[in-house]
Amino acid sequence: MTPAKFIQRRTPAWQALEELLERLESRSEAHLSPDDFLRFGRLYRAACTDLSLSSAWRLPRHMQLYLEDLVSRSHAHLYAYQDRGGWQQIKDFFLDRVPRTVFRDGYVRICVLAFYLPFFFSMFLGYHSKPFVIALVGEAQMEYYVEMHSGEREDQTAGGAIAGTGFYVWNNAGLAILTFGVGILGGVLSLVMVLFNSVFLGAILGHLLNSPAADNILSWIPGHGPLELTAIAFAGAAGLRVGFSFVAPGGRRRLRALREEAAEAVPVLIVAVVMLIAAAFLEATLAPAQMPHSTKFMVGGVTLLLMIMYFGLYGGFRSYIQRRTEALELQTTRRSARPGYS
Amino acid sequence: MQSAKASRERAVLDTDFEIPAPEFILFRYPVAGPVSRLMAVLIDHALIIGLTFLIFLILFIVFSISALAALEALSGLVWFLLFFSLFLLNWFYFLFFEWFNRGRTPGKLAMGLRVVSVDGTSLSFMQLLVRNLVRPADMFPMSVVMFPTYLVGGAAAFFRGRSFQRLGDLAAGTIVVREQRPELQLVAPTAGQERISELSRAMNIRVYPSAALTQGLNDFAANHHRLNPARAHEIAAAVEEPVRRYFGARGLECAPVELLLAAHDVLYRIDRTELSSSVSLRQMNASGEGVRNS
Repeated sequence: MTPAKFIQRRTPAWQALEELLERLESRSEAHLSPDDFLRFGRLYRAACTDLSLSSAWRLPRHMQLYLEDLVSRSHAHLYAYQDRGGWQQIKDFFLDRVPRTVFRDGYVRICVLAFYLPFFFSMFLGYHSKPFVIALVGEAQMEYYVEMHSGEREDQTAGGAIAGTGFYVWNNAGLAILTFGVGILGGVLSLVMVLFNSVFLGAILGHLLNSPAADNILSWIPGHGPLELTAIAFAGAAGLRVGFSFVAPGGRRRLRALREEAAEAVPVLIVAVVMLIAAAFLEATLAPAQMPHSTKFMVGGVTLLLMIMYFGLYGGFRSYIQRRTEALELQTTRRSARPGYS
Repeated sequence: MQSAKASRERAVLDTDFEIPAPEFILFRYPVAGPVSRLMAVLIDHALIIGLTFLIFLILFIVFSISALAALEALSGLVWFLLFFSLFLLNWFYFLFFEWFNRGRTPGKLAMGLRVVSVDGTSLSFMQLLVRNLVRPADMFPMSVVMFPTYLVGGAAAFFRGRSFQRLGDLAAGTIVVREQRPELQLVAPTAGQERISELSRAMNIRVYPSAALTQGLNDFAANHHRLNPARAHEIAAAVEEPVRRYFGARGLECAPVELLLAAHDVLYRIDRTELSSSVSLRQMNASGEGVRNS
């Protein structure tokens, strides 16, 4: 067959594939009939053959480019990820993947400890020693914080609460994503941001609790504190995991480790962002509200309990189930590997 | 042997990214270079900054309507929308476009780029998440006169040879490619030229031309009309002698450019499946017909 004949003969098939591709690419997969899908597979394989023929026969370059384009576009659709599942996917993500990942994640444990231990220690120091706070924050800054929180708080309106939610989401969730993002540079920056936040916040809170502003602070922090502070630790953990994968890939190639750990870290970051959005809502509505401290402590306690139940109990349960299934699968494969003994 | 050598040389020169498919073929993506990617990203950030200003402008207009400002709850909603849209714009602009526009933000669209997965499959949502959540590290230092500098990403682009992946690309397993949508050319570029086909029929090809020569003839035929005639003559004259020898056209009276075009025409008309037998080639040329029994 001459190239001229070859091109002439195969053109209808290529054009049919191109037409199918255009329909696929305009995101109307649902509108394709089963016949179309079968035809797509056939046309794709034929185009693959044509591509190898065209390079074996050294057909003109533009022919090869054209076929390469057809084949690569079809390949992307044929071997697509099956994760466009909508609600089911979101449900699986939050009810299975997230709690399981967080429970088993060693970096989460490290970062939660790295946040809360220095936090309470620095709070204790800040409460008892003024020089410590001055050394850490600076005198002017310290006075400013006391000044800011000492005043009589005006009553909160509904509009102000909504506006506040927006502001806290923008500020805090943005910061969490940043904490994760810079983690890829060795993980150190994430850890530094977690430690800095813990020591800094702890010292200021400790100092404020031992000042005229104590009453306001007790009415401001407890409602959203547990959610927000834990979310900071989570974001740091996600960043630390990504950064550390590159430093200590553990027997894998570095890039592969980076890719795998990043996929593992993203659920932790996402749940941190969700927690920060919830915390922002609490901070904007509950914190300025005029109600007894005990109510606010109770709300904070409930969020803490929910987190323990979700990540600790539920997540632990999920990962226990996963480990059992893995062990069972291993047993069955071992058994089938030794047919003589069964 | 020749073709293996040629492809190796090609591999050294080109930055094309090869993806093996299960159908025993390789296809290539031309990798986008750092400059076009920087341009794309600058366009995107300019758009983000423009949209931010637009949001503030709308806010300003809303608040200058005093009747609205009086409604406390409504003004709160406006503030909420402002901050929330700033949050979304800052962190999810790229993700949004790359997901819904199949790997192309407006900047990439303008520069003809597209994000693809390194294994040639379509992008998964997780890949896009990773790719864009790592972006702050790549953008470092974050802002110089409002624009990010992408110094870290730029340095990382040279980490892995020629694929120009920034850190987010490395972590997500994605790559940015130049998008080419070649048109199908149904006929040879020289079709319909009586003189050329006359010449090509007079040729008596003896040895099958090498890959390099074939490629050269193809490229010359496709692009000669863009060359200055004197330049085209100069190029053609340089290879006239070996082409005459390969294509059995020693005695043919013609200009070098015509010779090359005619040789290219021969390539279109010889039967590649029969090439091992030189007898059939001679028969084909003797009979004067381009197409044999196919």
